[in-house]
Amino acid sequence: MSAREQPCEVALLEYAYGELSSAEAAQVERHVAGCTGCAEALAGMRGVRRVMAQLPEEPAPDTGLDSLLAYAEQSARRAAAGPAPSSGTWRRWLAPLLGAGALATLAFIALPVAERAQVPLPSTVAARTEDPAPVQKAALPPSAAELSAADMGAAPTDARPLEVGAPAPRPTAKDMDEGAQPATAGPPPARAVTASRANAVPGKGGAPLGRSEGGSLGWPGLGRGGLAGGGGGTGLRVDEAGPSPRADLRTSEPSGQPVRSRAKEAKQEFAPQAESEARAVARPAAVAAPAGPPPAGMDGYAEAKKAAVPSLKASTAPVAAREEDRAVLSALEAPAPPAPLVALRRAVGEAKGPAERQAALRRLCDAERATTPARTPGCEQLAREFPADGGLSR
Amino acid sequence: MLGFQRGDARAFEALVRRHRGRVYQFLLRSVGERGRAEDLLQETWLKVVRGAGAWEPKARFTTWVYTMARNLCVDEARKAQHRRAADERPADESEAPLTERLPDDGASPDRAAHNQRLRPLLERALQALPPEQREVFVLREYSGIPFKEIAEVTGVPEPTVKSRMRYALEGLRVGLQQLGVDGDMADEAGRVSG
Repeated sequence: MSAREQPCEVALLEYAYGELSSAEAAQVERHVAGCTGCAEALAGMRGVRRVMAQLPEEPAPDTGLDSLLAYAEQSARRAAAGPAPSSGTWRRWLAPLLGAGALATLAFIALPVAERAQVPLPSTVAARTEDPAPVQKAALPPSAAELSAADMGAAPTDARPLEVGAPAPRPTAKDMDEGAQPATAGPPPARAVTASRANAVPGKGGAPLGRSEGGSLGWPGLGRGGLAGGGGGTGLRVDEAGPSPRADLRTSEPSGQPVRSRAKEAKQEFAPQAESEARAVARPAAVAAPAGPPPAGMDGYAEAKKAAVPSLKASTAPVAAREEDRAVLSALEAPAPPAPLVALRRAVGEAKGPAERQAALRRLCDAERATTPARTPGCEQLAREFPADGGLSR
Repeated sequence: MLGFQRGDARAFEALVRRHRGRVYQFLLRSVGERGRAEDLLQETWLKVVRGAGAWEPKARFTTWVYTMARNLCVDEARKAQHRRAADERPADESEAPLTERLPDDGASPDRAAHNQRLRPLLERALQALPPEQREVFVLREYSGIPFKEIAEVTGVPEPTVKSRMRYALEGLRVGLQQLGVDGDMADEAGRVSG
């Protein structure tokens, strides 16, 4: 018998193993009855099967059966309990947490810098010592230390916006009241420093310690600033003085009086004095400080500020103050990427698999467009690696 | 299997009780060593537990479990080949051929004597088959898997499976003849065991 010489051996095979229908089986039987070759082939198959059937079946050992069933029971309990949260869920929560943590770290680093930026200039310090008369001071926002003092119960009674002095026309009271108007009518553009506890959120009125839209962090002019209190978190924000959200000036202090209204009062009352101080300083990035001793209601503020800036007295020397201010300015002008971008870039680097990397790149691209539209390397990388995505924001 | 997917551990135990013996026969005949067959049996069922969530009712459970067992056999054969290539030492006693270690069911002294004589020959003939023919023969003859399902398990077309089966039967016939085992001997075995 040879398999190659028997064309109908497939049918015989199926017949021998009972895989033919009854009609097909009957047909094969009729064929085999009249075909000697097929009869011999079928007999050979049956003979081999009969012999090999003598190989006894060995029972499966019970080794490991108990542990297997225990493992299956454990797995069944997990299946009944439902699927575990996917890693995507963790990632969805981890990215914002990382971003918030980075923001908080930057805020803690930046607050001392902001305090140093509020060091009074020589002229104003001199005025303070020589003029015990009623207070004429530029509107000054509460510092972080002041805010801390307020949190501890020593709420400042007259926390006013800090006007960062510059030889530029002062905004009118109407401007301040409207809030969204630029502080100056002409160049240089006015900017404001806002020590904010509530608005350290990118994309809502300014970038946290980063470049605002299209601008550097210089303080060339007098700006409009305000305190946004009552929120959680602490951050330093540098705002463009152009149209910006008005929430900064609307938020109430702990005393309940809107900051914006206090700023308005300050503008109306002390604008000429602040302007003269700014001219006296005669530098583009002059920082106006309180002119004269704070009123009685400012004791808490003064104490908090003194505690926060121990080198306040030592910085009364004109040259030292200028150098200090320049150092502050240069530090703030350093092009550091916003904290969320750092976290998102780290997420891109840690992405596993192309899909996750693409999603991370897309998030980075969106964040870059919201914060630094002039420089979007993440979008470029997304377009390079995933041309189909094209770096389009989703 | 659906019951186990829903968290019923007893459904899995029923599956194990029903299929474990035949899966073990397939593994034992494929690898030829009891120890390795036991390890592969455990690994197969662990894979069933781990992959239970991915199983879909459109696939027969037997096809699925034999596919996993067969893949493990293929991997084991590769490892054994590497081991043989790396170390040409003769196998120690624990790795003695299956034909020398098969247990005897002890039905009768005559049968025991006959099995002691016949089993090594049958095992030798079976192990002499090429692996692709042997797995098809074992799946069909000892595990009772139809040709169509064997095609799914092995990943080859059904005509190829039948072709391999025909060659396996022919190879066994020739091999048994060379070993002196013929139909008379099988008939004798049947009479003794009956």
